[in-house]
Amino acid sequence: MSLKPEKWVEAHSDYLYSYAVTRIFNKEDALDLIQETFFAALKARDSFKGESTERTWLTAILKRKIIDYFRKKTSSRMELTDTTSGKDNRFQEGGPFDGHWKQEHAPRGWRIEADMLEREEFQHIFNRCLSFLPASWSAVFTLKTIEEYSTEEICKELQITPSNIWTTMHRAKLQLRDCMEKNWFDNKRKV
Amino acid sequence: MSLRRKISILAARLTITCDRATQLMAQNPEEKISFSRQLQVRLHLLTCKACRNFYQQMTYLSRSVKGINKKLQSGKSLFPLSSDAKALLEKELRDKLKE
Repeated sequence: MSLKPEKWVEAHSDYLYSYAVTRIFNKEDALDLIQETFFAALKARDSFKGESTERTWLTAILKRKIIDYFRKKTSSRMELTDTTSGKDNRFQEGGPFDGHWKQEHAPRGWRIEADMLEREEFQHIFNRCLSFLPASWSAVFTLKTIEEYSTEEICKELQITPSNIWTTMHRAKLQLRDCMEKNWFDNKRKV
Repeated sequence: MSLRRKISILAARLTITCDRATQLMAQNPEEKISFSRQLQVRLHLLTCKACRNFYQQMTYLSRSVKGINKKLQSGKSLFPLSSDAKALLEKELRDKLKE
């Protein structure tokens, strides 16, 4: 099997673009990454052995571009420690209920409909909520939860510690939960 | 050690705050947490409705991630590229091929 660069845009650009947008949550940057991926692929064309499909090969290049993108975004490590130090403001500080939910932030039940996960509208809002996370948080969330890299790999790539990862995941998931509740589940409730 | 002291140590180990419980739950499913921590979370959930909601919602958010990946693999584009963007990419790729 050989590469057909003249067909790449037609055959793979929608896929690669969707792949990038659902990882970095920024459409402009995603488009830049696709262009860089195609150029890098052209350059490395001779290394393609035909052991995988063209799409798998291009995706592997894009995955590397995504990591590099996150490395640049998180190069100021201070942001990560600054935004994750101290107690999250959803929880009470001091008093007999120290560390327990403040009433207004306590998660309420969601009305979950059977086919919701498959709905495009839901997926768009989910992706939008992820785009609201601070850059270094979404880097950790994407690599851990979506790309399923090991803790060791993420520590190495982003120059952070495992405890940075878990504090960040906690904060990211709290914020993601709030965002989905406000923008999807509360709206549903009103309807 | 007195029995009372033993019980208070046990209680302190078993009772965790919502902050701590959600932190441990947020590690799931990416990381397996130790049995004693799983137990702490379970006991906390018995007494805390808000954290039970949180737990269910985390499961749901993990499934959302899987749903998006499934959609991606199905070939249906969640975010299709505009025809303008495609045309520009085509042109740039053609230019590069000529080099």
